[in-house]
Amino acid sequence: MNKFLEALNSGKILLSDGAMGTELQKRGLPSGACPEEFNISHPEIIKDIHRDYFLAGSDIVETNTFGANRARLKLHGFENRVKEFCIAAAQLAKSVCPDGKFVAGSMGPTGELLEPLGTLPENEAYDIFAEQASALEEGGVDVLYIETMMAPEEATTAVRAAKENTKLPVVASMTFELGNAGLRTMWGIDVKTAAEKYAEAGADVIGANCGKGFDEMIAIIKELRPLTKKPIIAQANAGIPEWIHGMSVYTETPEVIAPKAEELIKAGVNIIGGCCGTGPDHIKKIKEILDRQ
Amino acid sequence: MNSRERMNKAMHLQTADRVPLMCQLSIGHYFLHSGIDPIDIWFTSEGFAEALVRLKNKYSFDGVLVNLPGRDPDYKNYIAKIEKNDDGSIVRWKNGNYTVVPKDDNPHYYQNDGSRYFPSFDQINPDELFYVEPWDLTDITYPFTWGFENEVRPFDNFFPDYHHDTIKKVLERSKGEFSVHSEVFSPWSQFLELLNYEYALMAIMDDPVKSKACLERLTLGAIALGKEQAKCGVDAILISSAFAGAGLISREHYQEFVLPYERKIIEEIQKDFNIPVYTHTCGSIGDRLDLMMETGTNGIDTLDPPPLGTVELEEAKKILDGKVFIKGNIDPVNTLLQPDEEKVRKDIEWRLKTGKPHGGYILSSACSIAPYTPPRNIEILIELTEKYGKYE
Amino acid sequence: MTEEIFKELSQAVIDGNKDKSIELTNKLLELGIDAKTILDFGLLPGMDVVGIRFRDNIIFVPQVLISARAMKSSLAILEPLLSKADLKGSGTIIMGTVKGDIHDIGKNIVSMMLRSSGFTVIDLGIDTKVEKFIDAIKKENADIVGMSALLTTTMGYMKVVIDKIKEEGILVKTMVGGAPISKAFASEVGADGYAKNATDAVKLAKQLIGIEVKENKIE
Repeated sequence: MNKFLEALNSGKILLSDGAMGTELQKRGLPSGACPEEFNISHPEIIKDIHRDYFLAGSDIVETNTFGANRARLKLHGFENRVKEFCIAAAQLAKSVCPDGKFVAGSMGPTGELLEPLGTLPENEAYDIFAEQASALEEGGVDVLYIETMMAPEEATTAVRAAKENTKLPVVASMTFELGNAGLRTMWGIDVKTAAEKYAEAGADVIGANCGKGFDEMIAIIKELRPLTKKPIIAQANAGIPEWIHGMSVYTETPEVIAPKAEELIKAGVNIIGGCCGTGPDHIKKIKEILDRQ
Repeated sequence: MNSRERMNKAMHLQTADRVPLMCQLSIGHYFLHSGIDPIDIWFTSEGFAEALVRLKNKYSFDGVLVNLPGRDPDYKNYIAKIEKNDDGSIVRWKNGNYTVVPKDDNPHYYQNDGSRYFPSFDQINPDELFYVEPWDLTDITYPFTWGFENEVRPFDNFFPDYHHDTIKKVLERSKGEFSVHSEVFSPWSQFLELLNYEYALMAIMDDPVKSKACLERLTLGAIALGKEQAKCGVDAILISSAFAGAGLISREHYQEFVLPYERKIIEEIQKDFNIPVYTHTCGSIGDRLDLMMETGTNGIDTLDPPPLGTVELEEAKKILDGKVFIKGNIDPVNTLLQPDEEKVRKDIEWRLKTGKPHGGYILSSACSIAPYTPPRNIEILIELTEKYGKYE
Repeated sequence: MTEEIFKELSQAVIDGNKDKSIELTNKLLELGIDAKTILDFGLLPGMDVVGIRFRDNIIFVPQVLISARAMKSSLAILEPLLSKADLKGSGTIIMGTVKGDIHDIGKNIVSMMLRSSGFTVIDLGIDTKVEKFIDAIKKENADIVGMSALLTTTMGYMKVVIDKIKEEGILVKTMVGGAPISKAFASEVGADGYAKNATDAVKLAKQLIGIEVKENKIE
């Protein structure tokens, strides 16, 4: 059996990492630049970030490939470098991955709308995700993370492409917001529908990431837990960014999120981590909580 | 548990009370920071032995590597005069040649016209080779003679009596408390030093048969030297194989011109002595760790990390864990040489955490510690080793 | 038929076969081919392949050394027949390892690669002091100065040279390399460029003097 699934099935709660994007900005990624290109031009920075998370206690780190799909890279003129970026990113993370820990290949949305609402045909979206998933597998990742999905068609297409073109386990999460109609993605999908769609597409782990912080994430997981037998992932943002001195700053410090993370664990997550604005210090805090359990 | 026991545990792939700490310092670092005159360090066994032990104590290392040969106690008889200048000093010898002794770097011996002597490949008769000592007082000679001696020594008594003086003096000071390692040069290193790098590298392309005949002879010398050092009582022997990385030669050439000879040295020494023999290769060796292990080596030293080399400790640990011990791989340039203490602390912490599991790890700089490395950066190594390197 | 001989000559350079390279160079001259054509269509394409294979770790230093030796032997025959303009096609580079550093294998390989790409290279050798660099730059009206260091003790001297060049207001580009040198160090000392290997050094030199560089890939 895949070692990652083995670890997951052992019943231990796995600790994922925090944000890549905000860490890259801290280390000099210019705004507007292509983060995935850093896998080639600044490999030491990427390894440094992974290492910081492993040191903080992460069992899993995510590759710097959130936007490394053909559609997103096209914005930078890099549409022909998907394979190169993904393989490099996977190898960088693997090269600093200690024995017994894991590397997850991060896959985000295409940024385009699928037909019929948009112009991207489903089969093209499928090919886009298949290309990225295969390259990540070739680079040596242990698992794929499909994340920050909001549109149901795109989400399930990504999961199918990943399952059908690789031998890897697939973790799939969507981003929900609390509105008048309860917790929904920007495309109106509620938690129950998301869980069903992902399960149907073949995801091994389902859950939520990004969003408005840990409080909302607790609500999502509480709603999701009774709906599925699958393991659940939760990776929340460090609150909502505030604009301070011309920079967006996430306000929830490690101390602030600590009790919330504890509640999240109680709500029944199997993989916990952070999203935008969380750093190694947040992960360290969560690690302390997990160690106490 | 004393330092020597701690090192022994790690070299035998076991856990001790904590990860041992032992770095190789550059000669220039001894010159700048031991408080001993560079002339005494370079030209006397006593001076180098004292410098080794002083800095070992200052930095709380668990062992020292004696990486210069013992010196002729009568070396002063050959000096015409010593000139001092801002950069160090120049020792003028009675034979007209001279040695430049920088205040911060390895000295070098020059012919009176300012050149360095190298024999040509055509000139070499493999049967006249036995061992080439790159750090001999008078540089490379052919056929090889020691210091200012003119007579070629018989191979059964090739190494002069004073050759092991530094090792003996360090062992006396150790009294079994800390680990004492000696060094022999890989036949491949000797061959490159003998002919000068470029000519040696062309020689293996032009005449591989003769090149191998040379390497076979140089292997005999290395075995003889290693056995003599083992007899003195050293705790381990390091094979210095600096030029065997991917910066210079391919895996195929490694298999052909390095592997069989180093394997032979290790086999022969370990037939008679039960001590670890390990290997030091600089630069890019990530592509050939498997081949290095085929030499039968007990440990791999350096493991230069990117950008200097190609080995991340996490990867090396996965490949080498439980098979050979690892000594390395703190970046001596991009970590230790920099004034950024926070970065040093972070780099050391993750190396300790990565290297520590299951034992078999010695915290060390990858290549040697540069002359101008701030002593403070080296002093904190022990503090961090105590903090993160303890075994439960 | 001559096309075949050009190909063979390139191959002789790639194989590092000095005797063959000399023989074919002479043969082409006997056929009335001019020296510049032999250089451009026989020798240089061979060294291009060598450079790319070296960069991609297909071949290593020993193979590069014998290729350069083959190239050099042929070039020795052609040199008297080439005009100054032919030789000075890509500009002049001053090369040296900086003061106190006696290791020169890396610098020698870079020099050979640069020569093989049409640059005129003045190699100042090892242990080169700032005055020697400055004199040579002025005398040769150089376009680029390349400095290498293997030792951490000597790398700092690169800054001394670069500072002096700036102080004297000399219009020359500077590039640095060597095992302990990094891109960050290069910008710290104010160098115009850093190359991590000989093939990149050639590319960098071309960029520094404004020659368009095309990406070569060899299967």
